[in-house]
Amino acid sequence: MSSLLSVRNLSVAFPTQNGWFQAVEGIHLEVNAGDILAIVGESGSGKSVAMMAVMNLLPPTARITCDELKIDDHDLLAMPAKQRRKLNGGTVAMIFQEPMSSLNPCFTVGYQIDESIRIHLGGSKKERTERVLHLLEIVGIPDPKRRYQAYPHQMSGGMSQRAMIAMALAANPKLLIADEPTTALDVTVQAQILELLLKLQQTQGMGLILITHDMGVVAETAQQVVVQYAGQQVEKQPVFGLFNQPHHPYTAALLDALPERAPAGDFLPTIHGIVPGQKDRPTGCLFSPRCTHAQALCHEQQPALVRHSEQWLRCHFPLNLTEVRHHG
Amino acid sequence: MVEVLRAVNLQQEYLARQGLLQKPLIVRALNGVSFSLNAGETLAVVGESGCGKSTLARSLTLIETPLAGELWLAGEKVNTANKPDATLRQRVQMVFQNPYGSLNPRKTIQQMLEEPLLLNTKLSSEERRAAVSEMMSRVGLRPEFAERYPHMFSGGQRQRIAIARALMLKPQIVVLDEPVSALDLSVRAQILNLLTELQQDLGLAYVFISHDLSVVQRIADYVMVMYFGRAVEYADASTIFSQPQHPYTQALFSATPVAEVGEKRARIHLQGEPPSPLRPPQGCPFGPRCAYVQDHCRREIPTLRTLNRAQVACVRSEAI
Repeated sequence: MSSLLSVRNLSVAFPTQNGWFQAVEGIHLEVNAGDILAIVGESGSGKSVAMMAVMNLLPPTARITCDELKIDDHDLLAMPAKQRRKLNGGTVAMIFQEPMSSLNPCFTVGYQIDESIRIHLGGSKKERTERVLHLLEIVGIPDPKRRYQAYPHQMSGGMSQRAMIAMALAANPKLLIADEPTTALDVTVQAQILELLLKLQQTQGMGLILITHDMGVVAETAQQVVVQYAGQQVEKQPVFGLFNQPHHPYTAALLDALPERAPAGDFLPTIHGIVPGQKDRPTGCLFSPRCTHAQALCHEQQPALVRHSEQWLRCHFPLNLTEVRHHG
Repeated sequence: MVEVLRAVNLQQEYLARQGLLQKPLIVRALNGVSFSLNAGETLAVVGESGCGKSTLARSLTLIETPLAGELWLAGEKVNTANKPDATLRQRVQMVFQNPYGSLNPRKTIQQMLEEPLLLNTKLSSEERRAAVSEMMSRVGLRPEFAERYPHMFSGGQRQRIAIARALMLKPQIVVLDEPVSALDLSVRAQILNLLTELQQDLGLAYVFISHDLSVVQRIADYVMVMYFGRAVEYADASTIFSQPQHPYTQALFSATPVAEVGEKRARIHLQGEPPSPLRPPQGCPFGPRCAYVQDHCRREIPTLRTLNRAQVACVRSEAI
């Protein structure tokens, strides 16, 4: 079976006054129907930019290079921009972090959901309205008829995010990219939205990419996890392995620093230093200045992203790895 | 144990304008909150947006004087009728959530940190400079950076600056309003450790406002769970985390994702969202979302009562 989304060696750079800034470097992703992939990383790790590149939402100044970029067997690299535009909202849909600011304040919620149906599916006004009401019901918005006429400012954060999800589902996408969908919401509402996303993903058989920085959300929802650091993909593993036997020292340090996982005592284990910026990018491994396992080689030579059976890893001296099988 | 902060039945109201000709509605943002806190201890205030956490912070720091109730800072009673005097305000300082918004972009670190000294003390410029550079090294910043502007620092460093600024006048109480929620994971632990270290060395009392329960569990001595302007549960941290008794506390704890695979908790499904403060529900404010609600709950607002070493505002807790 060919995969729903296949990304090979995706890199994105932006021009700045001091030359090119490498925001994303060497991302490999593969998502099949029914998969849930989480991309985790700190701010500036390029997780959103990589997905924006997939959606072709980056400004024209961005330099995007890629060996392969396929969605549902459409080769996006060979496709004119106009045609690619049609895939967005149809085959792939995306929801964003701030539900309040991603809805247009000037139009009713119903109109905005209808717009997506009109463009991608067509149909008469009556059919479309019925579909909007149906979608509002699926995402758990009470009293859909009244909410159809509501403006975004009349809805709470949780309701707005539900409306965004309804909009994303309007044209039956095969792949849904959710960029920090619950970060702006309260925990009890976050639980509701995550459950809704999982339920819809299962019933519609969609592929779901979840961009987040919340390790708790990852542990509870994802199947596969990609960890990004300073624009690079440093590790990819099934969720169980990632949390129990992280291979990259960055992943391990990040998990150790979580208050709920840290050993008892007054102080938490920390990762000293900060993420390198544009000017202080080290020559070797990008994590080497902060890594407690770094050796001479790490400071000199950048490790490549290597595949170890089910896992991808960018490290010279991986942790917890007994049998190393190189595949390419 | 020295008690440095005591609040008795604190209340705060705001007026919400409806329109030009309509009568403004009164919003009870804080509805009778009481607690006390000793030096060197941390009280965590937990709740969702709109529950009154930030209003509580503004009242404790005297940014707004409370409408009613008593507030004692460092053994002195705050006069809620008049403007409290400046020396009292020095005892309690605040650190805000977003270090990108809480620092003036046009001032250097030196200017920001010495401003409280300039206004409140008669120190000479040399003494102020020395105090600033001592405080900077104290919070883990290089004193050479004193002439730099906020944009030249990372988020974690900026939060260190904000903490340093709060400590310049040697307060006894620091109110921390979500101090780490805008920070990245790897930096979060550094700032939490700094806060613990400062508390141990200086005997500070913290009021730690947060929605992140894993952080709260780590650093709090006491926890107050708020809902709709009221405390619904108040207990020491080990009691509340081992045995949450209010249905809202239970739901809140169960909704928080855990960073362990396969450890998914049995989740309590809360229906709906917190009520609008403009249209408060009858009886218990949590009633409309509560699974254990009874007729009695819809008639009367439950008050805090002692139950198994905790204070709980629910009449049904024993039955749950």
